Amino acid sequence: MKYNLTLLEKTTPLAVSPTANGAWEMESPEKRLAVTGRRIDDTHLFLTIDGVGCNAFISDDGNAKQIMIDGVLYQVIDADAQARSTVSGAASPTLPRDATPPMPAVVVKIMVAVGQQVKAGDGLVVVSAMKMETTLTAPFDARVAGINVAVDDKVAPGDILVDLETAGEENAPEA
Amino acid sequence: MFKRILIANRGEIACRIMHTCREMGIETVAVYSEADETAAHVLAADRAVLVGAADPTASYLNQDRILAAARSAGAEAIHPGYGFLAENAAFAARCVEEGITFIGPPAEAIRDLGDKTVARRLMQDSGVPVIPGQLQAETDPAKLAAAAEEIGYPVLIKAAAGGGGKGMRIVHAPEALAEAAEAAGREAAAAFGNGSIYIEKYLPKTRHVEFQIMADRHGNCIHVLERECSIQRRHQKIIEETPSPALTPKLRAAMGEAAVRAARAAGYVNAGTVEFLLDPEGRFYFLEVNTRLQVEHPITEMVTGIDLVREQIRIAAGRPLSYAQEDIAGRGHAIECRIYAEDPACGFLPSPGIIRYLKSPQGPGIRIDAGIYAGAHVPVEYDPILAKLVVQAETREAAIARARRALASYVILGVRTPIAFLRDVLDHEAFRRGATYTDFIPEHLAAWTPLAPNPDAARAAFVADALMPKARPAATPGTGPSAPSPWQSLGGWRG
Repeated sequence: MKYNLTLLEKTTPLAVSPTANGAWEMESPEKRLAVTGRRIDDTHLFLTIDGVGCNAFISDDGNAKQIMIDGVLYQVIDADAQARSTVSGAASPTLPRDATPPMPAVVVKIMVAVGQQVKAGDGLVVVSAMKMETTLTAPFDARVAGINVAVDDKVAPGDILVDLETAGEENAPEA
Repeated sequence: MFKRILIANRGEIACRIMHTCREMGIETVAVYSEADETAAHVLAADRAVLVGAADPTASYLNQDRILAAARSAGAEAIHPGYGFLAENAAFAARCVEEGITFIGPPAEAIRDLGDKTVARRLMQDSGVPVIPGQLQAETDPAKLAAAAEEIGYPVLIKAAAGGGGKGMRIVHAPEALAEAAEAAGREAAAAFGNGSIYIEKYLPKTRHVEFQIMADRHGNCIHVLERECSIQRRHQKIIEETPSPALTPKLRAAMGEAAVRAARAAGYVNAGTVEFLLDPEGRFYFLEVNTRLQVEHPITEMVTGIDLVREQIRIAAGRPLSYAQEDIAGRGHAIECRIYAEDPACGFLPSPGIIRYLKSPQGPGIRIDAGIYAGAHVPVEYDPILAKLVVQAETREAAIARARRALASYVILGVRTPIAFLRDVLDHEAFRRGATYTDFIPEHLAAWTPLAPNPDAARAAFVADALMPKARPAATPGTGPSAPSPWQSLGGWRG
């Protein structure tokens, strides 16, 4: 069977085929590796790669797996599955269009009001996570069309805290 | 001795204090907020009292609620840990008024040492070297300019009530002074409710070296060696070690003696830390006194074998120090790595969430002070420290190797941690040769990104995880952890 796995923005094709005794061979354009695996628990796998032991700890995150080996966290993405889900219209990459927090946080201050004109870089909302405050700024010149949060609200990445409208957007049929 | 102590804190430090209490046969009372109902420190305590909402001002900083909890739970003493109310003179005074022992210094010492200009005057008067600069807060721009001229540029503007880098500005030339002073004053007023600032000489290349001090109520005061804490990000320490690679026995004796003099000048009782800046020529300057147990206290415990929390509790109960200065000797080398919930590849942004998986390192010379468990929630409201990895070995080189090894086997999934970053600090040639200055991270690791030393293993792990089914919820006991070979269950096959 074949995989296309992306690690640090590099996609590697892999051919995986069974060998004797529950082992398999993993072949990339550069090399061929003999692999065995044992599942210790849902997260923990013990592998041998060309005879050398390796503990890997894996958590799933959609099409990506977060894999920790020797204190280093690797994000490995199934490029084929990702291509499928993008075609089906799911989760398009986030554009820097929206005022969304970079981490789960609590709203500390709202710096704008509905109807206000803001310039790119103007502060919109201050959020706080773990004693560190971050100011979310306007990504472009815009008018504040709506404020979706209040002070003390808990917010997460992807939440749109402030709706922004560029000039003329409200009239544009295909905004 | 106390029968029951309330620990007015959370996380790893609350757990660490409870360990010692239990060893001393003292019952523990935890306090917790609504965000912490199942936090590690609540699970570790004999009793636990809900003190308020998640916001720290409603709970861990709420003096009324914490004192009421102590009364209702019958605690005779309160240990404040670090942060929260630990350096709050008013709280220490209220404990005394209510007949509860505050395990820490007297309120007056906290108050005096909390104001940096007062502390600088105290030190200067008792012959402890201070950084050249003002001994009074100043607001008049003309006087500030004159002082800066006399000290010589570059100068550092600091907040009198300061801490954590807030209200701090480096000024390289006279024309930038007025604006920087105004901004620093504003920032200090916002952060501490006190906009007082003062100016001191800016020392560009320094180490942060601090001395642990211990004083009892019987006039005994000793130092318990130094800690080097120069590896910092955002003015916050992330790796500490002892002994300092920069100290000779002679310099250690001089600085230790100055630290004890500083403690005596302030009328200090209990555990505290005198912080110094040390320049490359071996000149040292008083920085400040932290009037509490320090985050990095375990490295001192590792090399001296002294339980500092036990000593704190004994001192608070009126006992004399268990040790004289000549009893204090360090053995080998200790290093602490702080494990925060944060992303070092993304400006050290906090990373709250749920700990999905946790496996702590084991082996000789390793100590973990932690406030987490698998499944634990890491709330957004509090300091992001999860755990401290502390190692001890015979030499600095061996301690570095041990810390690297331990970090490599530390697994925390669910939140981001700086484990890979900490390893890269320990691996850095400048760290290895002991060139640890406070600008280490900006100078050497400013544009850090994680390396991927073993991509083959990562890809093999991805494939193996896809091929080998996960255990079913109702696994038969005694069948062992290994799942059937993927070649017996080909459900995962495709392509």
